[in-house]
Amino acid sequence: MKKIRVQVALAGAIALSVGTARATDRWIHVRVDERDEGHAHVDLQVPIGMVSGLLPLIKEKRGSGTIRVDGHETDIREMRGYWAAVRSAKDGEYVTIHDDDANVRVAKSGGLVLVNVDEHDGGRVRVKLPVAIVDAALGGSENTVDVDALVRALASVPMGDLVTVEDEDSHVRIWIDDAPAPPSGDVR
Amino acid sequence: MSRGERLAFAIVLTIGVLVTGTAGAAAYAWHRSGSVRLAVHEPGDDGLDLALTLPGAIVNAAIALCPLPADLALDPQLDAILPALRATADRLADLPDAVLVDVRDDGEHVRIEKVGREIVVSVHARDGRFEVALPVESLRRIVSKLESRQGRAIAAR
Repeated sequence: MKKIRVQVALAGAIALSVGTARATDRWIHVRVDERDEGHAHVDLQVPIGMVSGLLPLIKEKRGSGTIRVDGHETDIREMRGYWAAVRSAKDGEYVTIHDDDANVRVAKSGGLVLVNVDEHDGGRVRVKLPVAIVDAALGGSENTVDVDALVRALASVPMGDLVTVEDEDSHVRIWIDDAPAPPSGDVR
Repeated sequence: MSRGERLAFAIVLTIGVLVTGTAGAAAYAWHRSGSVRLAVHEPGDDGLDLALTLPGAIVNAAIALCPLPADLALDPQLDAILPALRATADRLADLPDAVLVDVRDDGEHVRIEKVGREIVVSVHARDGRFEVALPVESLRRIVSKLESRQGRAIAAR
C-alpha cells in the first residue's frame, strides 16, 4: 500500500511539474501594423524557449556591435558606459527634452527603464524595459550583444508591453505574455 | 460444448482479438501520424491546380527508407544547425495551436501556424495560392535521419 502511495505521489509530482513547465512557457509577440497604402501587417509570436533553441542559427550572423538609432550608429561599448552610470543611480528622471518636434522623457523607476516620446504631430513612443533586459543585452564581451543572456532575461521579466510605437503611419507593439494571441485583423 | 468445439472457439476468439487489435493499432498509428497535404492553385486556364494528401505513415516510412544524398559539402553547415533544428522540432511538438508568423502586404498573405500535430505554411498571393501541411512527427523524423547521417559522416572523417 505504501509503495502504491509513493508511486501515486511521484506520478502526481511529475504531472504537476510538467503542468507548471507548460504554464510558465512565455511567448514574445511582435506586431507591426502599417497604415499607409499597402496596409502591411506583421505578426510574429514564438515561445521564448524556442528562441533559445534557434539562437545557434543567428549567432553565426552576429552583428557588428553597433546599434543604429535614427540613422546614427552608437558603439555598444559606449552604450555600456552610459548604462553603468544610469544603473547605479537612484530612480528618477534622467532626460527631459521639450522642443518644437517632441517631448522626450527618459526615467528609471521600480526596476524599469522608461522612455516616453510624445511628438507634437500625434506620434507616441513608449518603451518600458526591465533593467534585467538591458543588463543582459549589454552584458556581452567586446562589442557584441549577449543574445543568450537577453533571451534568459526575457524569460524571467514581468509580462506586459515592452515597446509600443504609435504614429500616423504605423503601430508597433512588442510584448511578453504566457499564451499565443490570435493575429490582429484575422480575416481571409 | 465438446472439447473440440471449445478449442475451435478459443482459436477463433484469439484470431479475432489479434485482427481487431492489429487493425486498431494500425488505425491509431495512421491517425497519429497525421497527413502531409500540398495544395497549389494558380489562376487562369493554364494555371496549375494540385491537391495532394499523403498519409503521414507513408511519408514517415519514406523518410526512413529513402537514402539521403551523400553531399559531404553539407556536413559543416549541418553540424552547426542540427542541434537548433532538433530543439525547434521537439519544441514544436509541445506547442499549443498558434499562428507563429502572419505577414500581409499589398494583397499577399503568408502564414505559418501550428494546427493540431501539423505545421501549416500558406501563401496567398495574386498569382496563386500555395499551402503545405507537414506533421511535426515527420519533421522530427527528418531531423533524426539527418542526425544519424551526420553521425556516420563524423565517424567517417
